[in-house]
Amino acid sequence: MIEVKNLVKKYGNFTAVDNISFQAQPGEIVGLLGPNGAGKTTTMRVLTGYMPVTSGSVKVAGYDVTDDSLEVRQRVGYMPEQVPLYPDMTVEAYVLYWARLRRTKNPKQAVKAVLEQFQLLDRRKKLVRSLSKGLRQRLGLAQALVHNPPVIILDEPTIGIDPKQVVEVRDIVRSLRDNHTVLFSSHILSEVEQICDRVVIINNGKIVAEGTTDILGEQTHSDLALYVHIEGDKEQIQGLLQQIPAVSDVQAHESGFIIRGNNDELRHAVMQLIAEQRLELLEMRPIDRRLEDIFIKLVD
Amino acid sequence: MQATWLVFRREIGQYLGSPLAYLMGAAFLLLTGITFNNDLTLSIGNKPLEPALIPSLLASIMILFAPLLTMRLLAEEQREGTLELLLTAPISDSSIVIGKFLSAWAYFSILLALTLIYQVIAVSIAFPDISHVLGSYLGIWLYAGATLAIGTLFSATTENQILAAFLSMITLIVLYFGDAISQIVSNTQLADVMFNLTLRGHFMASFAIGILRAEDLVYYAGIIVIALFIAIQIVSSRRWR
Amino acid sequence: MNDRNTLQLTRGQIGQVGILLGSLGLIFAASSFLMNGFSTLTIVVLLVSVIGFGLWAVFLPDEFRAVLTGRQMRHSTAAILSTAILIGIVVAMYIIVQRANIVGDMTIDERFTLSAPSMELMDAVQRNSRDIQITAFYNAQEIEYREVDDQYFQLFEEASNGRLHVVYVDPDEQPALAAAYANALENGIYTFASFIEDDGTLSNTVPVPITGYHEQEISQRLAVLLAAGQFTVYFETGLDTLDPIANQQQGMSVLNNIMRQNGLITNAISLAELAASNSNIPTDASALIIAQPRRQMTAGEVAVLDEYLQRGGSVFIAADALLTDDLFMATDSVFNTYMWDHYGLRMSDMIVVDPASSGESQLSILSAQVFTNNDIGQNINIENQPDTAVQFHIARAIEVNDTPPVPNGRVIMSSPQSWGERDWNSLFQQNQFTFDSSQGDVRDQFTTVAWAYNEDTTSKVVLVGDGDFLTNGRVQSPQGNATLFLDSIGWMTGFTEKVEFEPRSYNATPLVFVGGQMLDTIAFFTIVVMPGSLLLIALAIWLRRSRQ
Repeated sequence: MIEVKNLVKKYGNFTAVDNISFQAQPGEIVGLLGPNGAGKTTTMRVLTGYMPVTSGSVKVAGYDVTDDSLEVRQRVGYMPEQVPLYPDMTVEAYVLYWARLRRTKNPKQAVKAVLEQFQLLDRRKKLVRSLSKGLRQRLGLAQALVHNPPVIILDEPTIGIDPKQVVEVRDIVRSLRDNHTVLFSSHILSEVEQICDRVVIINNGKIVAEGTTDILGEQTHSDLALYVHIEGDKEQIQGLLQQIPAVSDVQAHESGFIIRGNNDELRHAVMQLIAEQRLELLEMRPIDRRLEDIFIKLVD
Repeated sequence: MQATWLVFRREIGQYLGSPLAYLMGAAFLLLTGITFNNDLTLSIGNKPLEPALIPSLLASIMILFAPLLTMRLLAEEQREGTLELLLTAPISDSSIVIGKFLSAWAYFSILLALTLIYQVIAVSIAFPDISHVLGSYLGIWLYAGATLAIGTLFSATTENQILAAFLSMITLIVLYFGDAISQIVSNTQLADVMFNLTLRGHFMASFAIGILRAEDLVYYAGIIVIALFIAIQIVSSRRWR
Repeated sequence: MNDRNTLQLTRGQIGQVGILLGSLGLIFAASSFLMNGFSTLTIVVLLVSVIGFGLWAVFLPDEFRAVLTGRQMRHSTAAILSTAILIGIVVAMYIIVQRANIVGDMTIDERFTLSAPSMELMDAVQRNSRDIQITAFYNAQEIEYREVDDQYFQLFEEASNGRLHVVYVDPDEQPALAAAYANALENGIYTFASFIEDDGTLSNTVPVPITGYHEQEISQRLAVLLAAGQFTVYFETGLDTLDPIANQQQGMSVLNNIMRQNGLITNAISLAELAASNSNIPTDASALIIAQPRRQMTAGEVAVLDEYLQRGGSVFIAADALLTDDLFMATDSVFNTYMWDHYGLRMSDMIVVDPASSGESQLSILSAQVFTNNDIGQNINIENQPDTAVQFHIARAIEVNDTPPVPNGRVIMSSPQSWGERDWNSLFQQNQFTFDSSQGDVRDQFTTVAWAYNEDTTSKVVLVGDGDFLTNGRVQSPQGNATLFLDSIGWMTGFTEKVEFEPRSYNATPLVFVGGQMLDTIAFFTIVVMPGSLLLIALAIWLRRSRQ
């Protein structure tokens, strides 16, 4: 469905994307992972037909983005990082506008269906400006899906919304798997892990790693990390934590520790320890492993 | 074509659904209405009604009005990020620009058509030179098209609406008073060329006095085509800049 | 990525400014060349263009070469070049259409369409042996007026089939050229029509005053120009007549100048000299003017005049009342008898006193009754225009034979209250004049201007019982005095027929008459209801939105 070969994109003398190649099969959700400025957005803009390639070939849904730009654009649903909205339109009119521009058959039905899918049907007469941030995010997804495109490209869809809504968006994206090829960009590894079948990690315009999430997990030490802050003597507690079989690594961090270890047992083991030793737990939270860490690892 | 129509329809809906547009329309009608009544009072028992009154007034008003009408067209799309969606929709860049321009023109046409009520009143109380009137209306309609196209062009250059309005106003002022520059140099040849380049030169010396010249039609159509072409180039340039 | 947005001029940007400058300059130069030929402006713009392309070549050499060899260029260059090409196409189309001068007239009274008489006149222009030039003066500030006038000039230019040329002159740029027209220019006349001689010089220049009725005014003056040089008018100078050249009060240079400005040729001639040398009045004489002679004509002089009238000549005679023994056209003089015998007109021995006259005295008589059944009286005593009256000072009464040898008639008569004074001595010496029937005074309506026309010989005569009205001091007070003279000349020479222009009937759109109440209703509707309803809609939308 998506076929990128030796893609190079330059802005003047600046090379934003430097000779990358990857593929996405039908029904696959591919995560595009990388820090800000890595070239994720640029790559996506090339795929959506927004920008021409400098060199290389990009095929989406069987069409070349340079030669058959309009064909490609009709088969792609795109949600940019900042959800583009017309504040003075009603929800329904907004989605209908995009449905018609993308030449959807039976646009009104399609709009109704997609609004239902995103639970926006009861708000269809509301002005876009009155929607909450999460609803706007859903509306952005709705416009990207209204014409039922084979390829959906989502640029950081979970950025800037509250955790509950993040979960919601992730669920939606996962549900797209059956009928669409999804390219999904993020700078949060765990998110990509949860949603995607395959991940392409780029940095400075180059692919640094590519593969299924399992493989990458092995490559990048996919253990869970927890931050725990326990009342008591630091050295003693460190010792206790290290004794837990599920824990593979303990590092001092802020006023507590970061512990890593087997995904399933770690939390349980820590709680057990606290109960046994009658310690007082002040804080425990999972740590998102920053991509930077992984890059360092990968580059190393 | 269909995309142009869709963009046009959304934009005209934007105009007709926004209180600001009606406020501008009210100001527009107030101004033209006062001018009309003024001329009517002055004319009684004294002279025929001035046929090109409203169009001549609009010729200068458009300098202010056209930028206000067009400033949001593309600038807003850029600020809201919707331009990126439009540029990734399966439509040509030109249909975006043309659809937007046409909507502004259509909105102006509605306002202009409202001022035709004055002419209906004039016909019912006097015998105005109606063909002269309609000729001047055709003239101002094209004239407005040219100013709106220029406004559209500057709306494409920036995401700041105020800046877009400011730039197009400056350009329109230059295009309106352009010959004054050459008058300072006091060179007739230059003044002639400049006058032929100005918006005013193609209205005041033809439509306003009751004639229809092919060259004026070409001039206004030319301005519209060139301004829109440049606007399309600028919008397209978002792709490769 | 961010430095794309900063205002830093790169080599590429300078190059692109160069190509923009270059192509726009080229277009501008081409259009300037097409419009005005090679001028300084063309060269300057061409230079700018070359510099622009030079910048491009220097700052973007690769691309410059790429374009020259037809290889691909970058997007920005393509955009700029295609824009430049589009502008070029539009400019070319504009110039072609402007050349073609396709004009539609939208006015009800067809102000921008030449009327039938004008078209006939333009036929005459085409038949004429010399081309005509319209010279019009506009400085840079007046381009807008020039554009308006140009619409009319173009109509004439087109109708002349290339025989009429319009030349615009900027008086600030060519002061030497303008100097020749300085007088007229100062009086607000800025357009002139002239013949172009074979050597390119202009001749017979007539001023074309334009006041807003362009077509009529231009046609009128073109007719004058066409007639120019066809008519020669002679002033009799051998009878102590008024001097046509003298500028002082007693001269008649004003009339002479007006005639010359209208394209008539004027010359002096002396009947006495002709009689002495036994020669005749020149054949080119369209009319002879005998203005206020101070002596009688001799039989020889009458013979010279008779010969001229026999071959179709015309004479304008202003026979004044003067206290002299040798009075011109005294009742029993040779010439008076001649006029009575041939034209049924003669001077009486009465001075007209008109108590109904509102002039300086009862001797200053206004034209009380004017006959409009002739060409001369048409423009005298026009209603509501007091300046169109004629006023005489100490005028003699004319006797008109009502069973004349040739058709004749009256032009101006005094009021029925007037009477004829026969006692010239007391009138001139003591300024006393009273009606005294014992002295032979007669109460009657007297003729002061009369005409006669011999249809066989086509000779025409205008006889006026006063001479003072021709002097510079009185000829334009009232204006009717000049009209009387000029229309007489016009009738006699046939000049009027030639240049007379049917005043074009403008369907001037009728005035507006509306009552105050109607006006209030209109004002209320257009100023309150119409904008108000839009305001209400705005309010309604705003309210609906804020409720959401």
